This record gives sequence, structure tokens and C-alpha cells, in this order.
Amino acid sequence: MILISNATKLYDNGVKGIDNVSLTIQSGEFVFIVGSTGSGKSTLIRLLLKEVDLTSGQIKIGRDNLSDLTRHQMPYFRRRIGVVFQDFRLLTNKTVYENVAFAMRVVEAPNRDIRRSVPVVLAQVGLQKKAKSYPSQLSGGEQQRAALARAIVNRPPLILADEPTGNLDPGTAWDIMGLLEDINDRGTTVVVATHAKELVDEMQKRVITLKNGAVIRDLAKGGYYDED
Amino acid sequence: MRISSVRYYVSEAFKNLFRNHLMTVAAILTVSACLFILAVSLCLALNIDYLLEQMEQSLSVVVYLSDELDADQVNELYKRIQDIPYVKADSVKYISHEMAIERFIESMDADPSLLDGLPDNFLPRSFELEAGDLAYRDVVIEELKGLAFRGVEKIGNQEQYVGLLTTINNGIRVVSVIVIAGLIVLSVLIIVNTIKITVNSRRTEITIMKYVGATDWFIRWPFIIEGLLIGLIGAAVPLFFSWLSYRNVLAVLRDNFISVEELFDFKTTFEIFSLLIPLTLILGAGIGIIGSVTSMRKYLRV
Ligand SMILES: Nc1ncnc2c1ncn2[C@@H]1O[C@H](COP(=O)(O)OP(=O)(O)OP(=O)(O)O)[C@@H](O)[C@H]1O
Ligand SMILES: [Mg+2]
Repeated sequence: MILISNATKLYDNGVKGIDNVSLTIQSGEFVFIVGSTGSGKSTLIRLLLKEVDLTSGQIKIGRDNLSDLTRHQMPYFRRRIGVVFQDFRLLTNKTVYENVAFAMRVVEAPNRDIRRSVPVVLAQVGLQKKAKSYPSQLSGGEQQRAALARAIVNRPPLILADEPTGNLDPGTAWDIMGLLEDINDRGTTVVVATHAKELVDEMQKRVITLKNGAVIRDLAKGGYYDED
Repeated sequence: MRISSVRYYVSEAFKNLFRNHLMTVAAILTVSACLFILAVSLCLALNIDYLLEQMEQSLSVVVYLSDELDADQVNELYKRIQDIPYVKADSVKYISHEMAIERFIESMDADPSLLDGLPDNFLPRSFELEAGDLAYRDVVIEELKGLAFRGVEKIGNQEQYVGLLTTINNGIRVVSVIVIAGLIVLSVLIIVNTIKITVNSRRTEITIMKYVGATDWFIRWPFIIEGLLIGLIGAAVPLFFSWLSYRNVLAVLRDNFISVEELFDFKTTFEIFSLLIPLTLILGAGIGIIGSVTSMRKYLRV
């Protein structure tokens, strides 16, 4: 599903965000990316989204070789990935329902499908009662649920999450991780960059540890290691 | 493009217009002000052009006749002049000795007794004719010379006026084109800056749209429609006011200066506005769309 070979990202200021990383992530995997601050987790996520371009090496997602994607192909590439951020990034002038529906409008889904799918997805994340609320009227956890609903409504094969629980209290963080696990159980590949030590330890998923932009550990079923 | 998408674009455009109502009002006022100045300049330019055209046409070519010509020969010449292409047949006027003297006295405001003792044929007989546009005058004059009619003493062409009118006319055309082009550029610039202020706040929104896979056109369409609406409303307002003013100015001129109307004709409200309405609407729409789209362009590159 995801094939990263000798990927290096050198920022304009000379900092290596990612340094010669090679990784394979199979379809249907649940992967944590961990590492101390500045280790390159966000850089890796941004590279996978093609928000920034590689300096050298190669990244392939499915059949797409990221460096070959043209500007015109970008929207269609992004539609095959659901993204979740620490700061939710909901459209503040739209209700929860409209935010989720928006992702379907973008792919020009018929209104009929939108009306059918949005409530189903909102129910899946437990937000059916908040459909008419605006993001500012929601708690952080609810906003992140809405963002998750938006990420999955078009059923993308891959979900990328950059510190999805970073702004949430531990209990709510568990809920969100639980939802991500549900989504993964239904067959979606999930990649989560996180600092949430307890969650990582508890969930026993594949854990990839970065340090100074390089992979220093890759465990099939592991926990979060602070040392090193 | 799906109907549901079109409906979505239009509703987004309206929502944005209302959400940023201050910007909307500012943008509409900007377009209105510029298009109003433009409409006024165009009304003036069209009328000045029209007045000059009337003056050009009223400038006659004069053919002076020698006294040797008898009545038959004068008649013959009259017909041949009427047959010349571009000469307006009904504009050819015969001026007899007496009429010439009468006119002279009138124009000099002179005492008729001054002319006592001068022969009746003191001033020559002539034909006056109109050649339509200035452009045709030379052709007509060549033709007149080509008649080689014995007894044609001299052909008067009022060259000094012709030259002056041509210069004024060209000058006014150049100035109005420059003024109008300048106004269009200025209004696009103001619009771009007005809309930029709110697009800045919509920057995160555009970024989010890109994350969920919106194409550039999907993001652009609501902006285009928004710009179009701003432009059309911004055009309708000055059209309404300039139409009102033009009608009233014409009415005032007619009521108070009857003589003005006898000398010159003004373009009718219909003539002016059958040009001004489509022109202003198209310009308004264009300015609105260009302004809206340029102001958001750079945020599309995410
Ligand atoms: N746009 C940028 N320009 C220059 N340097 C950058 C940029 N973004 C990140 N970096 C640098 O690249 C390195 C990796 O940053 P990155 O954001 O990927 O770390 P991270 O693991 O996500 O950290 P955190 O846990 O704090 O989010 C850091 O040294 C950072 O300063
Ligand atoms: Mg980060």
C-alpha cells in the first residue's frame, strides 16, 4: 500500500525533516509513528499527503508515485486519503453535517448519496445529535469526531492522522483512538503520528520510532519507548 | 458539472456575500463609483462626438459661380453637382446675388446703406453643399474640380474649421479611451484589494478544501459567482442613476435652452443606454470576476 524508499526531506533552512527513511506499510495495517518533538513525524505525514515534496528517494501510495503526480491529479489523489489533524480544521461557518457533506460535494456526489451517507457516518462517530451544531459549539472531542467523520465519509483506503489526540483529555483521546481502530477493523489503513504514550503502549499496534528524521525502531506489536 | 454542484456554488456565493457583508458593500460601491464615472464620461464623449459630427456635416463646401453663367448653365451645374457621389442631393443650395448680400449684411450686423452704390453682383452666386463625413469632403472636392465646368470660379472648403474639428475629435477620442481604460484598471485594483481582505480570512478554508480533495475549479466557482454578482449589482446601481440623470439633464436643456436644441441634437436616452447598459454590465461582471479570482489565486497553490 505505502512504499517509502530512501526518502529524504531537506527543508530550505537546511534541516533534514526526514533522513533516508525506507518503510513498507501494508494495506489494512494500523501504524503509530512516534518520536520526540522535532523527530520528523509531521514531516513524514506531510510527505505522504504530498503537502511537501521529497528532496530525494521515492514514495508510492497504491499505484501513485508521489513525485509523478501532476497538479491536476492532486485533488483526486487527496480524495483517496482521509486526513485528521491535531487542530481539527473544520470549516467554522458550516455545521457538523455540512462539514461532512462538504467532503462529498467536493467529489460531486449526488445529493441523494450525501443525504444517505452523512447521517450513517455521523452515527458511526457518535455525533448524530450534534449534526446541526457549528464547530464552535462543540467540545474538542466532538470536533475531532466530526473531523474523523469527514475523513471517512468517502471511504478512502488510507487515513493519515497527525496527533489526532494532541488537544484532547485522556478519556476523549481513548474514544478517538477507539474510533480509528474501528475504522481500521473495517479494512482501512491507518497511520497515526502521536505522542500519546499510554495509548500506544496499550493498543499494541505496529510502532515506528523516528529520531532526527531517521527510523530507529520498527516493532510489529509494541509500545512507546522514551529512552534512546 | 452536476446541477447539485451548480446549486452549491451559487448558494456558497450568496452565503459568502452575506457573511462578509461589509466587504460586499465596499466592493459594490467601488465598482459602482468607477462605473458611474465611466458612464458619465461615456455620455459626455458620445455627445461631444455626436456634436462634432453634426458640425462636420454642417460645414458646407461652397462652389462660387462666375457671372458669365446664364440660368440654363447654372441649372445644368446644379444637376451635375447633385449627381456627385457622397453629396447629399437635398443639401445642395443655390445662393443668388441678393441672398449673398442679405447674408453678408446679417452676418456683419452692418448698415444696409453701406452697400448702396455697390453693384448688385458685388458678391458672387454660389452653390452650398454638404458632403457628409469629413472623410468624404476631399473626394467630393476632387469631383467638383473634375467637373471642369467653365464658370466655376473657386471652391471654398472652410479648411481651417475642418482641420480644427478633426483635431478636436481625435483628441477627445484618445482622451476618453485613456480615461475609460484607466478607470477599468483602477476598479479592478480596488476590487482585488477589497476582496483580498476577506480572502485572507478564507485562506484556511481554502486549505481545508484542498485537503479533502477539492479541485481548483470547485474552490474557484463560488468566488467567480460572487464576483459576478458584485459586478452586476455594481453595474446596475450606476446605470440606474446615470439613466435618471441623463434624462433629467436632457429635459432641463430642452426646457431652458430651446435654442440649443435648434443648433444641435443630443443623443437620445435610448441611443446612449442601448450601448451603455450592455457595456456597463459586461464591464461590471468582468471587473467583479477578475477581481475576485485574482485575489484568491495565490491561495490555490497549497
Ligand atoms: N516548514 C519547515 N521549514 C523548516 N524546517 C522545518 C519545517 N517543518 C519542520 N521543520 C523541521 O523539521 C524537523 C522535523 O519537524 P516535524 O514537524 O516533522 O517534527 P515532529 O516530529 O512532528 O515534531 P512534533 O512532535 O513537535 O510535532 C524539525 O527540526 C523542524 O524544526
Ligand atoms: Mg508534528
